[in-house]
Amino acid sequence: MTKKQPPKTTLTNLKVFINSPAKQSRNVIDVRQMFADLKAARFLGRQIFIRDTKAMFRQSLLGFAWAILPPFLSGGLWIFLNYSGAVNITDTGIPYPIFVISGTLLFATFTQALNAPSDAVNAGKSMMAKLNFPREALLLTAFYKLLFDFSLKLLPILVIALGLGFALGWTALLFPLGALVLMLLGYGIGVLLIPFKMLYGDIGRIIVLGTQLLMYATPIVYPMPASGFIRDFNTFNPLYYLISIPRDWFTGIPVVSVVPIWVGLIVALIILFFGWVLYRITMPIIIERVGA
Amino acid sequence: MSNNNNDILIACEGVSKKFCKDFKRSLWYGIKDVSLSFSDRGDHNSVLRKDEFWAVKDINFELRRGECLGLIGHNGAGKSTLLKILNGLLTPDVGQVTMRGRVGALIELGAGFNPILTGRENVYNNAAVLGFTKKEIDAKYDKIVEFSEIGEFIESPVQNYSSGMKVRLGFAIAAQMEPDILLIDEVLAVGDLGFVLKCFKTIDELLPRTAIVFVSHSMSMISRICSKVIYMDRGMEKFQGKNISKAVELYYNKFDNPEKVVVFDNGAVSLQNITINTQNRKNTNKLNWKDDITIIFECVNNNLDYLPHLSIFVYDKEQRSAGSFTYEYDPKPLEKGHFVVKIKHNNIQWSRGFYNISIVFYKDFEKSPIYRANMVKSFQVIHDIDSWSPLLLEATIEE
Repeated sequence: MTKKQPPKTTLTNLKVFINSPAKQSRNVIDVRQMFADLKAARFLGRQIFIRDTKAMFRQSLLGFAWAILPPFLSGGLWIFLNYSGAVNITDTGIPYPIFVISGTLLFATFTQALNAPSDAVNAGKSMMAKLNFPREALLLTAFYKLLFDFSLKLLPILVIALGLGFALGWTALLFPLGALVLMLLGYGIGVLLIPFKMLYGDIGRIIVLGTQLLMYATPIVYPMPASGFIRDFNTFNPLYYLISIPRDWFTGIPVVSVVPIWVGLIVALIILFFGWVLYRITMPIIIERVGA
Repeated sequence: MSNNNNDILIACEGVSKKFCKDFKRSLWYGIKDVSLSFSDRGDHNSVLRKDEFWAVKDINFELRRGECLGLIGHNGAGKSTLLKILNGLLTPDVGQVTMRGRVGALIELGAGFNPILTGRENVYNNAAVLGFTKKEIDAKYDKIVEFSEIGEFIESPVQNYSSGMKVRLGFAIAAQMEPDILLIDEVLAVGDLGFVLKCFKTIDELLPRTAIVFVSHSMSMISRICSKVIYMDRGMEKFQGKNISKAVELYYNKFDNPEKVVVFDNGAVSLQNITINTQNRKNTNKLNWKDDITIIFECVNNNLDYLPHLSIFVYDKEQRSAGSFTYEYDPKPLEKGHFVVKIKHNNIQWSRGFYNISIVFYKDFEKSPIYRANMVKSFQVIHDIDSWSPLLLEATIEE
């Protein structure tokens, strides 16, 4: 301990914190306060992300492989099914492995983004019940983790594409940006769902089931059919656009319109913002009752 | 005291907090309260709805720099809830808390530790949770390691640490906070004596420039560092003031006198009754300091041939040992049936407080225990002077 006295402080330059019923609730939805808290949360969010990532790799033999493998295994499965003739998928216009691996990669990014926020908050629940730190840190941790996982997966897909002798055009550079929009949409919905997931275990199960169904209902392992129910359904399925456009960018297929990406981005940001507000409002209530 | 010490750092005005016993209903109330707080319509804050109770009710105090407030009360009295309100983790339903300056909370040591990572890495994790910036941690890192006395193990995973080491590291980090307000909740109870002494030293060093709120069940710790005390019972303040011993007495009175427990009994002898007489009064359990006392043990002899040896131990309310009696033992032949042992002691010098007696009977010369009973009798010593040691020894100044 230092014996040195800190500079003498007076009442005026001390940070004042008032905890009262009315003040608190208004502070919660003050946009300036929200961004101030977000800024204050950056270091902690990064620190928790580094902590979790380090711990994960230190406790595993395969390390990075676990971040990369799952989409490639499921992609590989579809490639096997297709070439063995067990399923018959119409021509996708590009080599099937690249089609299916880029598709599953994008979809996995979406489902991860859906779950990452509530996972991070659940992991930090006991800490939240006892310590006062900017709650946004946990959301940031989840987002850093998503970015990290995605960039890990980007490398092997490039290797595979080049290994198959597939020429990547300049639009492939847009692929991560498209994926980011998809990620933001999943993340926004994920943040919005945090309070519900924390209260009801059912929500988590519905999400697992729902994403599995969506995976097959959306043209991910097969191309968009020319007609029929699947086509009608996917005309209104935002995921279809947010997956097929980045995939087309990656594979060099001309994209008719990028409007869905912009719409997706705006909708994702709106959902994220409302999710954030809801998170700030509900978290104290939930932690007060669930935590400790 | 300089003027600087007069800053009011904590102002707690009429703070109340209610909880709901039913979980689903409590969530519903929570949602209703939040939506109401955005509107200008009235609220339900000051009335109790179905299944609600006050966890903290109308607490008022002010704390200045250099003061330490002790919060005492039995389990569930609302101490930790109040601490959480001060820390901003809970919003009060009624009233207002104003905190000035940097708030440090020693509520959970080592929050954010990951057991797989090394001590070094976890210093950064925990400090980040406590609100340090990267720069601050870098600057204080060496001091933290030195304070924690972890030494070379700082590079080992924290899961290999003993619980004491973990707590030491956690405290070492928290001790670097240099807060204006420090909230401490029962964390100092763990760790060995060396650690506890070190904690006290740190708190003593912090105290002149800090306002401390200290929650503990250890009355000796409370009396060691607190300048005033709030005694809480079921959320309400039952006592507030600088007379710490008064508060401690209230706290102790809340507990029932401990029940007699027979730990060992081989049937040879049994204890029926104990009474204490003083030079003035018969059969009392309120003694004055410097009284002459006689403790009368009424026993039944079932199959002994000689008088058993009786060892008597006195404990204070915190079960600290407060002495035993020695006397010349004469194993006289003993008839079957009722017998009485009277122990006389002059000029008792126990300090003011509550005490209880435990006894062991030993079979005459064999020295083997035949009957052991704890807390067979409790008594109170009444005196003006308050002392934290169980003994208050009379002395004079020699010219």
